[in-house]
Amino acid sequence: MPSAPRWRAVEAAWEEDAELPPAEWGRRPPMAAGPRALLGVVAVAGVLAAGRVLAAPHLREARVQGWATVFVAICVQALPFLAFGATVSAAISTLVPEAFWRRALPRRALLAVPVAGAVGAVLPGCECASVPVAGGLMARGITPAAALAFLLSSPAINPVVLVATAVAFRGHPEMVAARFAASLLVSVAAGWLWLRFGRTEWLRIPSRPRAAHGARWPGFAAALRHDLLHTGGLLVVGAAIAATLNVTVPPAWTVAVAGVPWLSVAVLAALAVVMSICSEADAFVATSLTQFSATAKLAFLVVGPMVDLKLIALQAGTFGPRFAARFIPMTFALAIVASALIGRVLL
Amino acid sequence: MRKAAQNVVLLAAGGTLLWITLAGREYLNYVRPGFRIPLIATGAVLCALGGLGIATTWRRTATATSDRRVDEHDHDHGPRATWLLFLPPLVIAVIAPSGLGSFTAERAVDQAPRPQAGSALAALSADGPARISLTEFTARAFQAKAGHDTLTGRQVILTGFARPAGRNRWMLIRLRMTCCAADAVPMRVVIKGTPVPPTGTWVRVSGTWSPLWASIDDIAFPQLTATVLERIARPADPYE
Repeated sequence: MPSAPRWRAVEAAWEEDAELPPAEWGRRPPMAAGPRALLGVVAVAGVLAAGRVLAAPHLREARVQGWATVFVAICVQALPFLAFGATVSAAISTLVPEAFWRRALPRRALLAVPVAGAVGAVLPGCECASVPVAGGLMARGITPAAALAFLLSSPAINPVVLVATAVAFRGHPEMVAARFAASLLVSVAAGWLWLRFGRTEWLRIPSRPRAAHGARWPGFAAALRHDLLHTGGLLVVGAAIAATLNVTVPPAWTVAVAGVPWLSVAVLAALAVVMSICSEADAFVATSLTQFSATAKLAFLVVGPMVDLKLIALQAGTFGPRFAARFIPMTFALAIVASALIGRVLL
Repeated sequence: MRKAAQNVVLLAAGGTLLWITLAGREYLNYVRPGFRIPLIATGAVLCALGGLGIATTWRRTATATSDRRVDEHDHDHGPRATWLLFLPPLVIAVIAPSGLGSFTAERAVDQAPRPQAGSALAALSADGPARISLTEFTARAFQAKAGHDTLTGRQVILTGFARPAGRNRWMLIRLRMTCCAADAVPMRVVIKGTPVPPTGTWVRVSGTWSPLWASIDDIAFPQLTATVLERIARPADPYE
């Protein structure tokens, strides 16, 4: 990593960046910001290469290796989905005209919530992607309650996830139906509750950088950049926590409580929060939890895409801690209640 | 975070993604082989954003004076969390994660997922010993137990790493990954009939299924009576 003074120099150079037209042709500044930025890149690459050659051979401890593998795996697995989500979000907020959303969603917020929830069944995307997309919708002036219904439903009931669930629970189509029903129920209920009880000051609607008027593509690139950097940094927090739990919590703890039926729903819901698996993959993990009841597995599938460690980090960072402190516990409670209800009826 | 630093973060993250997918097969330690293309695309997008940012800086400084400030660029200094994006490249470079192995397998308590009912597996291909995954072997063993026997009399070849389980028997282990290494679960088959290899050694075992199940710590494992044991190099893709 380059030293702090050099960074300050690079930043200062950027600040000193100047406009056309040049007044002093031929007089070279000590070192221009462009070359300095390049020097920064070379310095970082050098530090990384040196780390690989000098430090890596000495860090072979199994627990460190396990932690590092899980941490990097979650980041690497989520980044393409995140990039896809940020692209969709940037497109929504810069390329799609505002009028489109006004027409697409019912004017009345009460109706817009279930419609937005149902739209989630069409758009594929994992939960990391849905946070920037929902932020983009709010920035576009969509009722926050409707954007939140979409935020919860799109990673839970999109076609990719439903197909994955059907493959994982081969021979049990009722699990797919139960997942769809319970997840849609939670997202619409959460949207309506936020509409009724939510306060504007709790929610920080993300603002996004705007390019010059009329310039669409620079605006798109700026929005994409902003979303990627923002959600990418927060994803790292979630991945680090999940990896730490992965290598430190004794797995016997989770198995010990599986025998208690009423507890198993709560335990698998909590496990979904802790494991932070992408919704495309969680059904395969759920089938592996053989000692738990079908309703407990349903709770795992309903909670996972809506509340988990990386989502808590992403939502708190995107919409503000005051929002996260209220919305996340509410969603978690709704998801458990809906799973218990739908599980009783369908499973 | 200023734009100049953001560009470096983007290039570090994007460049690392390209490094683990193009310069070798390191990405196989983390995700499934089919995920290579999305990773390359993402790496390219991140590098393009960072590279464009630096090119813009370069173009401006090449034509600018040093005493006039630019006010038109946005004041997006970004959240502090953005710095954390340096962490994955740093971990990949400095720790060089080697993928999961014995450590993760030891932490597993239950036997890995048994196949769902109703998916009867076809007979193994007719000629020669069959190279199958531990997942498939386990699935076939469970089906044989339920009356649909596709294993008796067939020579199979399994690949994994070893873990001693007594004086005359040991476990062959391979982690099964669904999506990424975070969801890896160990598939385990008990091997008898060969010397016990040391913990963590990668081996290829050839033998026949034994209808008797082995019980270790009150968990029942399918069993293989081995005839050939070969020590091999760790495969590029350590999972199945």
